[in-house]
Amino acid sequence: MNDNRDNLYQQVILEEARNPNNYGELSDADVINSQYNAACGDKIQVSLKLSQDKKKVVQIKWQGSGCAISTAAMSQLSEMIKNLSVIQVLAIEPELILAKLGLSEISPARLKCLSLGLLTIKQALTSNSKRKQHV
Amino acid sequence: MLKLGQPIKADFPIFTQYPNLSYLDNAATTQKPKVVINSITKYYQTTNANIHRGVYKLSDSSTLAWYESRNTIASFFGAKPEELIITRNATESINGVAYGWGLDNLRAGDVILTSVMEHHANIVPWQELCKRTGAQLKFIPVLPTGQLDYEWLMDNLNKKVKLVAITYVSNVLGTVNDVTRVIDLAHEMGVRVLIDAAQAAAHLPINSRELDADFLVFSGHKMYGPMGVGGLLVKKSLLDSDEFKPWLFGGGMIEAVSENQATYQADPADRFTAGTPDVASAVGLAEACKFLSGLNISAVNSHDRELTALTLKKLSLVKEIEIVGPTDSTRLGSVAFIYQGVHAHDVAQILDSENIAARSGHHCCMPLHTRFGWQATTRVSFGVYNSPDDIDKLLAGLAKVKKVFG
Repeated sequence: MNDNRDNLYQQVILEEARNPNNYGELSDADVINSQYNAACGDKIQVSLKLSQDKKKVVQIKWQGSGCAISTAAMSQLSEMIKNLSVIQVLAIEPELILAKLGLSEISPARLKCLSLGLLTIKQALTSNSKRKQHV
Repeated sequence: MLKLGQPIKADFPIFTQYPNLSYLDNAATTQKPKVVINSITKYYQTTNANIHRGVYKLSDSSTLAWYESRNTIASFFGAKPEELIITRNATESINGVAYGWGLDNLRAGDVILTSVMEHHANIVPWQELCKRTGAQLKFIPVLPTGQLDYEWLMDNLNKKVKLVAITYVSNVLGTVNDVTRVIDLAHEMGVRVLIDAAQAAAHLPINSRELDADFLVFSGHKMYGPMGVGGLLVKKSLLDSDEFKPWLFGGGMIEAVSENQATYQADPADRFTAGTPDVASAVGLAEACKFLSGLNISAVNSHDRELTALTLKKLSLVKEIEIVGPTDSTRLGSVAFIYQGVHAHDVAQILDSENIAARSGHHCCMPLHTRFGWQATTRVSFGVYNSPDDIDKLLAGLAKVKKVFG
């Protein structure tokens, strides 16, 4: 067992989880997508505003309920992806969020919590059918 | 029994490896005593050969070990050996009833009754069976007290109902259902009953003959036996009828095979065992039955009840905690709760950092969680090696949750 596992709840995570960034829903979103992690009942909905050529993420808001890890990860991620190109966002790996949260490792079960927001965003950006639709 | 609690940890090698572990996830699987582990090793070192392979001594020994193990397991449940079908686990047993009984006996318009508190294992096979037969699955409601709605059951048991499939003990609520009442009510209407005893087998005495359930299922690994072995007890009269048939076919279960057809063994012990069985695991499970019998299952039951009562009492003093399910002395085996404002995964993660193994999530009971609007719950569940020390550690762990999350 590594230090991370026993000290997962460092200040950065607790702070982000208590006061998450970009919480809410965009009224002028181009894409809205929701994901549900059945294993823990966590739900995340993201709404994204894209640039006119649809190649860049301009604005993001998200809402949902989840554990401290999924909330903190989504909060960090929502800051990270603003003004990134769609291609850049799609290239983001969970490890990057892990690092941003000050962690070096995470258990496989909690990796799912950490990745839920990323999955929701990537899905929103790759699936045309979900554009402007609540799922 | 004197041995229960802390002293019996010496019989479980996992606690030699992790002396400070408070293992409170026994509803998911129990730890294995040395005698069980050793019996499996001994089987492979001294007895291993395929059963029913005739004349050589080693095969005879293995065949004997298989039948003796079956006898021990059946007798632990008060059943005749021929009433026991060895499966991989309770899930496979329930699927066996769906295939071996349901497919041929259900028609469009028939009804299966299960309950909202069931494990997915006692829901999903019936959903699939209904898709294939046109039958309908209905749910016995669970009252806010955590009890089955018996009034509803009485109102809804009619000629269309062909099966009632319910759990003996809930793995979330800790409710002990009045299965005798359910079986009596159902049998009055000529309805078959399946009892899921996965959460009951290691916690209370079961006598299948007295219960008179048509089908009773259990998992070996939740009663100190190895993973990968469990059982399906089928009433003798049903086995002798044409109503329940083998659902797995191949070697071992046949009497004679020609190119176009086959006849099957008359003895149900063989007729329902297609292919080489997991003899070593059956040997291990038989040893687990002996282990539990040696402790006296009634004493184990009292031990569980004391730990459950103590946990309920201590958790009720933590103001952030909402216990789900019965909070009285009827509760058995597990206590699930919601820590207000902190997700169950975060609670369990912090408990883990204090060497407490607890479960978080929906515990394979999504319909129950949906019914009551719980996103996820944290659950502690007890075994013979747990003691009040574990409950004290749990409370200290929960104090840490408060410290971290404020």
